[in-house]
Order: sequence, then structure tokens, then C-alpha cells
Amino acid sequence: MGDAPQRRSARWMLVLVACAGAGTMAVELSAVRILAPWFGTSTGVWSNVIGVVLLALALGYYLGGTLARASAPGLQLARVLLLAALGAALTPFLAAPVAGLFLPSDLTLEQLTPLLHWGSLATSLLLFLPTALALGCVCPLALEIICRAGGGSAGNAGGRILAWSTLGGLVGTFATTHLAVPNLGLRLTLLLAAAILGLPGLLLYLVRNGPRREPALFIVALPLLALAPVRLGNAPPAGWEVLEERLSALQNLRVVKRADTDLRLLQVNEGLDSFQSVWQPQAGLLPTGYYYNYFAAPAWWSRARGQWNVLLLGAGAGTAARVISGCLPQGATAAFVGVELDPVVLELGRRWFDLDSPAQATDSMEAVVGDARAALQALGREGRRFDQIVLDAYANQSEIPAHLTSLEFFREARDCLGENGWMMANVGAFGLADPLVEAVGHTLATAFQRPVLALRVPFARNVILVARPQDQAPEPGSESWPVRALAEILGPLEVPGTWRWLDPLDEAPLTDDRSPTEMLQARSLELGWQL
Amino acid sequence: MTWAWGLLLVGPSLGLPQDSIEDLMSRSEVGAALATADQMTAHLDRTSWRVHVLHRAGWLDLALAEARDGLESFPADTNLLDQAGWLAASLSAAELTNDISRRMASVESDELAWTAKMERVAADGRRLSLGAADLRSGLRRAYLACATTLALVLVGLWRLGRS
Repeated sequence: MGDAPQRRSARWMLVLVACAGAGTMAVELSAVRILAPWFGTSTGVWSNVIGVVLLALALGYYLGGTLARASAPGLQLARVLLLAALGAALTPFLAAPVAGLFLPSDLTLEQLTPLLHWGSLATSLLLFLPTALALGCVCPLALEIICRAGGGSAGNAGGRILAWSTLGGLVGTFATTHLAVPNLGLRLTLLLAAAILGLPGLLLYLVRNGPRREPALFIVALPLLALAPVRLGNAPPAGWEVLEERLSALQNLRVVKRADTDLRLLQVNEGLDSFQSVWQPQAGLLPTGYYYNYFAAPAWWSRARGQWNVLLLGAGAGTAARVISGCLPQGATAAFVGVELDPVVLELGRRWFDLDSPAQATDSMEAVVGDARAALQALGREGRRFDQIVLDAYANQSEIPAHLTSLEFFREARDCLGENGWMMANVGAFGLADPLVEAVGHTLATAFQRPVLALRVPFARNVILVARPQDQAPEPGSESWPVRALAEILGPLEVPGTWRWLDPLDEAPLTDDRSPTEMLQARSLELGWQL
Repeated sequence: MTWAWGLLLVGPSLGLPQDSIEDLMSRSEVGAALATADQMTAHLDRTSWRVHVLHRAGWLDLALAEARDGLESFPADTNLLDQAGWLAASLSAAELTNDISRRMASVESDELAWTAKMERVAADGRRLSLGAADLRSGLRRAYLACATTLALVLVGLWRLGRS
């Protein structure tokens, strides 16, 4: 073989491995999003998906090496690419039946926690292992073809293949997360990945094996799959109707409405019985059991007059703002800065949750897209000070991001509070002795150098932490505690055992360096069900 | 993130200072309502009203703990059994609900509503047990799927190694 055909063959193989790299990352990143409606996107689910893909790639490399001994590695390469394409294209159709094998219906999010880990592992193995295994075969086969064509030493060819495969993966990573999933949706993203893998595989098949009927089916099947109806994600709970569903770059979102009332919820990923934001037609206190109600108390305790400045870290669709704005003391107006990581949440908030329309015409909402910690630092640098900071940021439904529970974060928050300011944090927990509440509460107390009040929310599994930089929060049952306008929510907290103080410690349990929040949350769920 | 429970209103049908406690509860003066209940001299009244107040205030786990303590002293009290049955079911405690339903069945009562209450708690227990069984069966299927896939992988590797 002459030099030119060798170079052409090598270049062709490098294009193929780049496509395989891009396809691998598209499948892996889509895999997490495909599983999200059932199992969420917690660190455990990510670990399962990455683990399965790594296992499949390792097996694929081994299998590819064995297939490379065959007399026609080109044909084998075409077959594995077509198989991988088929796997990617069928994944959206198989997701619901496979995930449904492991998840019983009608159980709550925390009851299902053990299944979220094992179920996501089993579903990942069944759904993604075959596709990723086929993709793993690509590099060894391509290497064999280049070496047989005399395209240099194994080391040289291997280096080029790894470089192109990794570059393809890089492009696949960014394109999937930032372009394909938000704009095309999951099904079309996976079909696009199937096309990127399948079309070069098809060409290679035709070149190596001559015209055949079987691969032509692929050309017909792909558009048909694109048109076929498929529902990704679990159905809304009985009695709820879906108003809008969106895929953002970060999560799957759904706005649902109860058929018999005007109550709307924003659900994220696995959702189940939990939600991110809630809306009712009238602003102000929500029905019993919604923790947002407690964010209204500081303005009353401070006897606010004039402008009450509130920073919402994890603003969601604006529920906390509507609650606070709807029950401010007379003579007070609220100016909110709401920080939310996901811009699509803000879009949905504007459309369905009156995000930009707080209860009073004089109140204002400045919605900011960004990370809560980065936004807090930026506001601090600008010299902005707030009367109240509300931390209500969750990742993956049930995990408070570690960087928002550290000593350093709470110190930054303290520096952004006015002298008589209030810091409130929502912690999903089973009680006041919950390990997560203790860790976050003691960290907050250590940062503020004052005891922190922990309040259990009745009819809910949430604890609200209250801290002040210059003073202590009023003790339930004390003279400064009751507020007539909020008696409905503050009264139940006069019961002994429904609140406690958490003191500053010499050493904060959670820091930027060491923050085992995921472990604490797992322990919290474990203890919570030992009734 | 919130897991809201439905508000279940179960009150003891006692003719003691119900009005004053209910008045206090209607004004959300829960601390005062509990203090009023604590002032009752009869142990059973005190327990029943404490359970009622805690339940109304939303503290289902505290109310259940109080009811269970009360049942230690008054194991055949139908009112306490009924309250404990509601609370255990509301907190999704399958075993406890079943246990209470068995204890209810062993208690004779002339109350007309008692049979219906017993049936309700037994049905709650069965429903919760089914939920727990669904969870165990889902876990078993997940273990099986993982083990089978890994076994197939190992067999495949072994066959490849021999070829």
C-alpha cells in the first residue's frame, strides 16, 4: 500500500475514534439525565453511571483487542459502531420499562432512598453497559487497522488514537450539556449520538463489505425512531396535571397543578412527593407544613419599617419572596435579590409562579442567575448589606451543596448581613438530633459565634436554622417570640422538644476543606426511618 | 424540599376542659394548650389530651411517642389505641400499625365505631406492609440484575481469555 492510502486510512480511523469518543460522552451524560426522573442525579447516581461506563469501556477494550485478531477488523469495527448506534437510539424507549422494573410507585422520596442507589446501578447496567461496551471496542480495532495498514508503530498510532478519542469526548461533553440536551431534548440528543456513531459505521460497513440490505435498514430506522412517541420520565402523581415540562442544562423540570385546587408545584428530577417551589393565588402564608412560612418571621421580630432587604440564596421560582412579601408588617416594603443557579427555573418562575410580582406593588425582585456562593461574594464586594439572608439551596432534591454549608460560607454570609440581620437556612431533616442539622447548625453557630436556634417545621421534614450576628433569635415561648399575625405558624413551636439551641464549637464540623454532607445526609435518612 | 403530611384531626372524646384547650388551639396557643392538658389530675386524661394537642400542632412523632407511653399504662384504652393507630399509619410505620391493629382486635369495646376504627387501622397496616414489600421486591430485582450482569461479564471474560 502506498503512503497516500495509508494516510487516508489512518485519518479515517482517527475521525471514527473521535466520533466514538463524542458518542461515549453523549451517552454517559445523557444517561444521568435519562435516569433523573426515576433516581435523581445525586452523587450516588453519577457514581453508578460513571462506574458502569468505565466497566463497559474496560470490557470493550478487552473485547476489541480480541476482535482485532480477526481477519477483517474493519468489518468488526463497522459492526460495533452500528451496535453502539442502535443502543443509543433505543435507550429512550427502554428507559421507562427498565427503570420501572425496580421502582415501586406511591412511596416517598426518602422511603425509596436505598432503591435510588441500587435501582440506578441495575438500570445503568441494563441500559448503558451494552452500548458503552461496543464503544470500548472501537479504539483497539482502529489501532489494529492503522497498524496493519503500516501507519507507524503501535505507540505512535496508539497515541494518536487516544488523543483523537479524548478530543472527540471533549467536544461530546460540552456539546451534549450546553447545546444538545437543552435545545434538542434527551431523545434527539441520543438519536444524534446514534447518527454520529452509526453513519460512519454504515459507510465503513459498505466500504468493507459491499452493498447489503441490513445496514440500509439503519438509515430507515433512525428517522422512524426520531418520530416515534416516547415518554421520558415518570408520570405526575394522581390528581396532578402537568402544566409545563422543560429540560435545562442542569436538571429535568416540571410544573404541576393539583386538579382540585390552584396549588402549583415545581418538581425537579425524580420529584416523587417532594418539590422545589410552590405557588398559590394569594401571596403570604402557605398552608400548614410549608417551611417557607417561617421566613416571614424576622421582619416581625425586627418590627421592620421602611425597606426590608432580603437575599434569597436558592430562590427557585420565588416562593419565599411571595411568602415574605405577602405578610410584611405594615409600613414595610421588601427588596429581594434572588439567586438561582438554573435560568430555566427563573423562566418557569416568571411564567407560572409570579416570580417578578411580589405581593405589594412597592416590593421589588432582582433575579440573578448564578451560584449562591459566588453571588454572595460578589454582593459582599459591592458592599451590599441585607436584613435577612435565606439559604434554601438544594442540589439533586435532597442534597445541600457542600460549599453552602461550610464555615467559610457562613462567615461570608455574616459579613453581608446588617447589624440586626437574620440568617435562616432550610435543612431537610428528620428531627433536631439529625446529624445533618447538628453539623450545619454548629457550623453556622461557630461562624456567627452565637447560639443558633433550630426549629422543626410541623407536618414536614424540614428544620429551619436561625442565626444573628449581633444577638440571639427569640426563644420559643419567651416574651419576644409570639407574633399575632403569625400565630398559626409560631404557636406549635412553643411545644418543648420542637426547637433547640446549637452552640458554637471550637472547631466547625463543616469547612471548605472537609465537608462530609453526603455522608451525613445518608445517615440522616437511615436514622429517620428507625421509628 | 418539603414532605407535607395531611392534617389528621383525631381528638379524644372526653368531657373535660375540651373547650378551653380547643379555644387555645384555635388561637394557635399551643404552648398554653399543652400546659392546660398537663394540669389535669387524671393520668389518662393528661395523656390523651397531650396526644391530641401534639397531634393537632403537627408533631406526629411526639404525639405517637406520648401515645405509646400512655399505652404502657393503659393498654386497653380504645381512645389511645385509635390515636396511636392513626399516628403510626401517618408516619408510615407498617410494623407498629399492624401491632396496634392486633392490640385493637384484642380489646373488647361497646363503641359502635370501634369495629370501623379497627378495620381502618388494619387496612392501613396492610397497605403500609404492601408498600414495604414493594420496596423489598424492587431491591431484590435490582440486586439480581446487578449480580446477573456481573456474572455474565465474568463468564464472557473467562471465555475470551480461553479463546
